[in-house]
Amino acid sequence: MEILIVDDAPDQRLILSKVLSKQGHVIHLAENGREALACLKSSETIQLVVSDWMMPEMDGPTLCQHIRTLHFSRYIYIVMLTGKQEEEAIIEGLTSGADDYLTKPVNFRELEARLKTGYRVVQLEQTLAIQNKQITDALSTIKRDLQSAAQTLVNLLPKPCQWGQTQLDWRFMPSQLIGGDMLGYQRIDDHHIIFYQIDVSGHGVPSALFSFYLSYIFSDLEYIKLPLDNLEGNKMLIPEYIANKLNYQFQITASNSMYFTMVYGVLNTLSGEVSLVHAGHPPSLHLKKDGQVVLIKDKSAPIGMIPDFLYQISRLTLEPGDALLCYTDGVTESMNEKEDIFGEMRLQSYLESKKQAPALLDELIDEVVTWQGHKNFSDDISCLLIKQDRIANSLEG
Amino acid sequence: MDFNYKKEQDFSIVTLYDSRLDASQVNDFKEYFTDLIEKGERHLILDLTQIQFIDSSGLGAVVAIKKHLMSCDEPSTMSLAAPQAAVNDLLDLTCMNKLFSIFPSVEDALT
Repeated sequence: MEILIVDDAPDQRLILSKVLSKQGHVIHLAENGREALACLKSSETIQLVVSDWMMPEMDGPTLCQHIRTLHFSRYIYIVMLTGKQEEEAIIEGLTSGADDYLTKPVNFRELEARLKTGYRVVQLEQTLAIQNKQITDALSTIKRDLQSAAQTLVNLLPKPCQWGQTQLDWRFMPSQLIGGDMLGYQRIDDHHIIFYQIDVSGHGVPSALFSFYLSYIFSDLEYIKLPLDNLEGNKMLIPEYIANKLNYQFQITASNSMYFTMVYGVLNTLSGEVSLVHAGHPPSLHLKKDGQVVLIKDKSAPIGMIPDFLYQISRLTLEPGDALLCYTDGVTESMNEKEDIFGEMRLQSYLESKKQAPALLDELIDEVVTWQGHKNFSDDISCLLIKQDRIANSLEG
Repeated sequence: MDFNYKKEQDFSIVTLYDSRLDASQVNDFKEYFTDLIEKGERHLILDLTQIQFIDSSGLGAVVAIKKHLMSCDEPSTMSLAAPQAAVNDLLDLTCMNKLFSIFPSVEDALT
């Protein structure tokens, strides 16, 4: 190994250097701490230092302090030589950053043994540094992948749009580790829109994959339509039928405990009539044009929990100027520094105060960010807003 | 997560010693109860006195244990005892009373 000997006494340097080079080490020499630092900076292969205590310009303890504060790219193991045997001196040496010490006159066999210990520590440090870098690299790759997966999910969501007098808009803020939120809507005939929002339990890739699979199912009209015709001969769309069907299909088992909460609805864009089913989902909010906020609250089990659960629908009418807001619990469970949650009450009174501002969704997200004090969401946050225009618009499309 | 096990009559009473049942605890939780069921225990009482918060993964795990019991041939019961306010709200909101018997205390669950 390469060893730097630091000593102001030429005879001491000479004898140490002879002994250690005889043992097969490559030796570098310095007369004081200042020279030693320069040498360590220029020769990056030196990882062991044997230093005297008392030296002009820069003494041993000061050299130790500098080595520790300069953060060299490799670990440097320092053995201090001291004439002092007092406890205080030893403590001072070790506190200033030395790894080990030897009292003078130096016993060379002991020095060799202590340098071997130093070499083992240096080797261990190197192994740890390499492993640490591998882990850090792997983690940042995983984080990048998760972020890109979250963005891919967001890109799959339908564009905000207007059909007739109905406007559909949403915001989706994926959590750092990707979550299980998903939302969507689809026009199924001239004046019916179906919409949904789900939140798969847990976080991470399994939840995201499941929510992606569900979004695929929701886009399959053959799956979601009731196999019965209505009076006009069209297949009927009944939200509670869909909830019951999903609940039958996706029951939690002993080995798979994933489930999801859902709101699923059908809107008649002409009359503004909405029928919707909640399955363990936060209550949707009917935002009336006068600023009043009405909770659409149904006690219901999340999909997959209770076999044979019979889901019920709620009905409401969106008058021109009204809106319906569906959200996931990432909004209401976002926590501030004191670990207080945003909560349903706060959300409701915030929305009452806003009276349907044009940029309501952006302002709501800003409000949640302000509440928690940062932009890193620990759960997915998604909001779906369905708005009936005040003035009827005859153009469809 | 720490568990305390006590057998009274046919009931296995398990006290969960943690303030949270969340994603980080779910594996421990499932392993513990799966083991009990595999050893032949069929009547479980979960003492939730210490639990202040259950997240979505935690709730899924509790239901998964119930489903495991239901998949066994013999008759079985699973009760939740002494849920604290926030946990009780969650159980209420998600209609868990349709799946579990929920009692204000372990003593009530035993009678």
